[in-house]
Amino acid sequence: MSQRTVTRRYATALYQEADASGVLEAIDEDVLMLRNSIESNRELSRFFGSPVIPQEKKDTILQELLRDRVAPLILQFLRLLVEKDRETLTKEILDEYQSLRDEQRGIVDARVTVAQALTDEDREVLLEALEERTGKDVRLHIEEDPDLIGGLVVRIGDRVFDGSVRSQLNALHDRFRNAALSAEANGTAD
Amino acid sequence: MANGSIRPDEVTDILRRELGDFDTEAEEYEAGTVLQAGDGIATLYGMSNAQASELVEFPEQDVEGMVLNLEEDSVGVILFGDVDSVSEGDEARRTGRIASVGVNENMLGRVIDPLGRPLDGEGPIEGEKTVLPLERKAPGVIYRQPVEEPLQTGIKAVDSMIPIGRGQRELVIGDRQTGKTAVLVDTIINQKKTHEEQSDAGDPVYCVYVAVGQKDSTVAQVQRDLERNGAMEHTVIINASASMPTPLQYIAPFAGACIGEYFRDTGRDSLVCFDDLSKQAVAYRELSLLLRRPPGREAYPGDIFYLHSRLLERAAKIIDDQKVAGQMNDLPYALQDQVEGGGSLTALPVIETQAGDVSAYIPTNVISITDGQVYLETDLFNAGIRPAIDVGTSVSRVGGSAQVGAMKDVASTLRIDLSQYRELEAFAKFGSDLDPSTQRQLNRGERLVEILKQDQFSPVPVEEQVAIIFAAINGYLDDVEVDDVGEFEEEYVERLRLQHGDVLAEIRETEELTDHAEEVFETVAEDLSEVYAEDEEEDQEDVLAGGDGETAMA
Repeated sequence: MSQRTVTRRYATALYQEADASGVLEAIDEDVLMLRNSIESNRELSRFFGSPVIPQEKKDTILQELLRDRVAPLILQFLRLLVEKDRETLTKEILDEYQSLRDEQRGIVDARVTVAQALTDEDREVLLEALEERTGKDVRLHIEEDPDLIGGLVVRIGDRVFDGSVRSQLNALHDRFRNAALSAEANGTAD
Repeated sequence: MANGSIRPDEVTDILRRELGDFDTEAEEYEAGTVLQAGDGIATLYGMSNAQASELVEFPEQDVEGMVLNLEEDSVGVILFGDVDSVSEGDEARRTGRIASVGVNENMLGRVIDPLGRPLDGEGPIEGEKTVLPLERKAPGVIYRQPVEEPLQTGIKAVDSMIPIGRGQRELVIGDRQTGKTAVLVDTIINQKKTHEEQSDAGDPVYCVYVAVGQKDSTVAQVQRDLERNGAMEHTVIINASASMPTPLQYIAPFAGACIGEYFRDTGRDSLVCFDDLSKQAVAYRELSLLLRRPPGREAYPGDIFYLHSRLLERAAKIIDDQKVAGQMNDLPYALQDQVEGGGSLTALPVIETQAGDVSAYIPTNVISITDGQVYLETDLFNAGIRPAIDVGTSVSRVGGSAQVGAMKDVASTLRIDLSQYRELEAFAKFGSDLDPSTQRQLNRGERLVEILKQDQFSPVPVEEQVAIIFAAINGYLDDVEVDDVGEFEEEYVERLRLQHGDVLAEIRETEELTDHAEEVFETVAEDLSEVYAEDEEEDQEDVLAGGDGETAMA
């Protein structure tokens, strides 16, 4: 079974259970916290990923570590993952949960690549433009890449808006080449 | 190129114009990322809106691909062009276009690849092109018409006993080295007549020769043969040779069908030769296995039958009624206002068998799809019977109604006579004491086999075929030595051409064999046969005289 299928199933299950017991908001917060912790804490991510640590031990550690910090449902969920041998996918499952919730709340991630750092003002304008275009709340992730020369590239999901100087130069290059080719074929236009 | 040199200021001028027209607009596209690539396929992540058989481009590598597999979270793509340049992590873009070929009349006389790009070094193909999708549904029942008009191959054995009609699908099957390609090439050459002005040979037939997985040298040879015989002007060669990426070999027959359809749907006749479909099946098997589709019999994927059936279903005779034809199903947008009824697409697929085994998977499939087969045999080929057509197992399921009247009259008993001869031939090997009637049948059979022999690149017009078969069927060859039959035939046709050109022309025009024509054939054949019979007697006398002398000496 593909990894995506598995993560989606667990994430959906978590969401549905949280929704049914009316603790959705608490779970959202916990998921965010856990994701950040796993990302920033190498020990923790290794703890989830390691196949060497026996199940019982993982179970105990989880309980010790998280009992007072997170909602009981999350704890139960993580213990279930351990029991089902899926704890190595914890990060992916939590990510999937996040994107599931984003989708429901109408939030999209926009990955923006720019040639030079944006001013706060530009940022604001960009955000507004993107929100108007997509009709959704946009979460910006900005990266810098001097190779673009100028302009920017925005990627939301699979859709890409390419307004970089680099790609326009490429387009111009192709255009010149084609014009030259057809001129050659027709025996120079005169 | 055309007028020697390009002046720098001209170039500058063009570039300036292009620059002036260039507007800076942001591009918007849908992208995916290559997860895995190799062996002509790539798996992409993302691109969740991609459609089946949509074109995908890899801008960095300047490679295109076609979507073949749509999975839950990935897209399987087959790559055209430089397959090895695509690697993991590369970006792919949707083009929103379905894989298609641009077709126009200027392609005639050219050698192109399955995407319509020229391969013969004669420069780009000029003119506006009609863009047709590679995969297109075949016309439905109401847009078709029964196959009635003959497609003359110029091969005596085929036109007389396995007649092919315009819009038919006739399989050419046989082992390697049995002359399958020769049958196709001869058929294409014979269509040259239809392109001559004021010809009586019927409407012009435009030919497409699709070479799949063949040696480039073979394709070059075919091109040369066609050129030398003046047949290249009405022919397009699509070449997906053995060294080209497998995906191109897989789509080549579809590209051929596209070009054929362009002529078919604009009210003209076309002939598409697929040489050969076994190699296409192998290419498709390779792609399917790499795309992890489950293998079936002989490791071919489950839809290998559909692959060939949907391709060959595109052969059709379109209804003459302009109004109905205009409403044809699945008409590509580009063709919409060019449609004309009455066109046809005749398909001549080729299948190569292994050691004469026609019951292998692909041969049985294609035999059941087509409207008949021309079966070529190694034994016959080696016995000097060329074209090596096995009359017993070759059939044409619809061609009968597409035979001209005159041919029908003379050739009706030919098949029976020949099969009886084959039966007797087997018996005759056991003993020499045969009754006179058997002897006669054997005699006749030998001569029939002889007249059906034919050199390559020398198609025979239908009226001459009628004349020759008439003579043989009516026993005018019975007294001619088997070795002299070829010579007799030549002289007989020559005399008819010189002295009775009007009779031949009449058959060509009316397509009927009149009593007068029969009389003429009879007189000429009788005269000639007497000459040959006399020669023979003289020869025999010589032998006898020599023999007597020897006995006398002893």
